[in-house]
Amino acid sequence: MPILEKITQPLQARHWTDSIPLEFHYTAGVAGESFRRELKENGRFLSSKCAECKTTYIPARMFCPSCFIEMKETRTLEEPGYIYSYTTVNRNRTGEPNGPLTIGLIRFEGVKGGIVHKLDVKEHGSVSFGMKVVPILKEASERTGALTDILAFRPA
Amino acid sequence: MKRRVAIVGAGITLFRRRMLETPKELSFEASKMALDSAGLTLKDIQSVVSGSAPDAFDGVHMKGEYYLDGMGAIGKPHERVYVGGGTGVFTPIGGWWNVASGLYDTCLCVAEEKMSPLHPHPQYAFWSIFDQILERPLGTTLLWIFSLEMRRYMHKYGIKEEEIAEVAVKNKGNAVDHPSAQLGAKITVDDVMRSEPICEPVKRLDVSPPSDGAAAVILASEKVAKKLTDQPVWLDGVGWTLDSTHWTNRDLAYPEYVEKAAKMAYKMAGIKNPRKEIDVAEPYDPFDYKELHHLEGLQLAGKGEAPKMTVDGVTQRDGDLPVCPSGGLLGVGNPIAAAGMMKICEIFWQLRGEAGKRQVKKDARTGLAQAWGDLMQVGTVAVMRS
Repeated sequence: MPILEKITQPLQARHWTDSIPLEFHYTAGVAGESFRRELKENGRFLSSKCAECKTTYIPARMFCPSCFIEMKETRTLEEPGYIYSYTTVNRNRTGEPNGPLTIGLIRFEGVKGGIVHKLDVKEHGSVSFGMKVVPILKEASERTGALTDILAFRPA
Repeated sequence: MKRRVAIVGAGITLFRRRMLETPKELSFEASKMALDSAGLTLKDIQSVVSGSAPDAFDGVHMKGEYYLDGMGAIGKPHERVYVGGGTGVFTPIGGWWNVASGLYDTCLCVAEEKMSPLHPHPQYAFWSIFDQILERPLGTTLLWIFSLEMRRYMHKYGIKEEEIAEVAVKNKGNAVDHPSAQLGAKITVDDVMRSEPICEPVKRLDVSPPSDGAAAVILASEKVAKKLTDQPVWLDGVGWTLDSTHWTNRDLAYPEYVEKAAKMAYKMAGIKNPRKEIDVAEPYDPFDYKELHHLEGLQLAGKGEAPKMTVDGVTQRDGDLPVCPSGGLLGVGNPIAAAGMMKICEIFWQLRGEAGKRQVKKDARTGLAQAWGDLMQVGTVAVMRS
C-alpha cells in the first residue's frame, strides 16, 4: 500500500525519467510587430487609441477589447512614466538568492496598461508612488525590439 | 425543457502554416467577422464559449484565459471546452448548452489554434499522450496508430489505396474555391500514390497540414434568432461520446464512438434515416481514409461502402450526398479546433445558400458536421437545419 510506505526522499520511489522537448517560436502579431519596431528603431513605446471609447492602450494592440473594433490610430508616448507599484526581489524563479532587485509597474498618464521592469535605484527606499521614470535603453545598434532592449527605468 | 438554438452568423480567418497574428488577434478576426455577419455588436453577446486543443501548440499555458480578449469575453461568462481534435464541433455544443438551457439568449462560440510556435514540429505535443509503460518507450507517434487503423480498415473490407486517395483528390480540389484554404490544389490519384510514404500506407498527400487559424459562430435562442434573420440555421441535434485511451482495445476498422455520438444527435434532431435525410456532410478528414471511416460511423454509408460511394462520385459537390464541399482539413487546412469549427461554418453557409462557388448542387436543407480526436477516442456531431 503506497500510502503506508515510509518514503521520505522522493528519489527512493521507483520511477523513471523522460522528457518532452518543446521549443516555441512565437510571432509578435500585427500590433506587436509595430510595437517592437518602434522600440528597436526609435527607442519609444507605441500605443493604440480606440476611435470609439477613446481609450489609449500600451502596448499597441490590434483591437479594443471593450468596443471590439480594430484600432488604427497609434501614437508614441513622449512623456515619462510613473511608478504605480514596486517591490524588491531577493530570490530568482528557481529559488536561488539573487538581488536585491527593485521591480516596478510603470504606467503612463492617460494610458491603459503598463510595463513591468527593473528600476535603476540605489535602494528600495528611494522609490515612491507616482515617481516619474524613463527607460535606460541599449545602444540602437544592439536593440532587437525585445523588452530587454530596456536595461531598466531610472528616475526622470 | 430545452429551447431551440439557431446559428445566426459565422466568421473565419485564413488558414496558413504560419500566421503573423497572435492567438488573440486570430480570435478577434474570426469573432468580428461572425458578429458583423449577424448584424450584432459585442454588447449583444451574453456569453462566450471557446475551444482550443493543447496549450502546447500556441505555447501559452491557460490558453483559454489568454486569448479571451480576442473573443470579447472580458467580464462575460466564458468557458473553454476541450476534447482534442473533436473540440471544433464540441465548441458550438458547449454554446448550445448555454442557450438551450435558457441561461443566455446569445452566445459567441470561437475556436482558435496556432500550431506554428511549436518546434521542431507540432507533433511533439503528442509525445506525452501515449501510455507511459506500453507505448512511450518505443517513441510512438500519432502516425503509427493512424497507419495501423488505415491498414486494418483496408484489410477488413478489401479497400485499395487508390480508392482512399480519391478523397484527397476531391477535398484538395474543393478547397481551391475556399478563400481561407491553405492547400487547395487540383491533383490526381497518381499524385497521391507517388507522394512520400511517411508511415505506410499513409503517404504525404493522405495527410492534412498543421495550420494557424480561427473560426467562430454566433448562437441565438429562437426568439432572438427570428428577430435577427430570415435565415436562421437551427442546431437541432448534438452528440458527443468518448472511448478509453486504451486504443489497443478498439475495432480499428470502425469508429464506434462516432456512431454513438451520431445516434445521440440524430435522436435529438428526430432523424430516422440519416442517409436519406442528411443532404450535405462535413465529416472530419485529417487523413483521407478518416472521411470514409467517419461516413460509416455516421451511418451515411454502410460498413466498408464509403470508398465505393466516393469512387462513384456520390460525395462530389454535385453528387447525391456532397461530402466536405469546403475542401475539408485536407484542403482548407487543419488548425485543430478551428478546423472543426470551419466545418460548422461551411454547413451554415451551405444551408443558407451562401457558399458561393462551393455551393452544392442539391437543395440542401439538413446538414451535418463532425469532428474526432483526443487519442482517437472522441466523436462530436452537430446536425443543422435551414
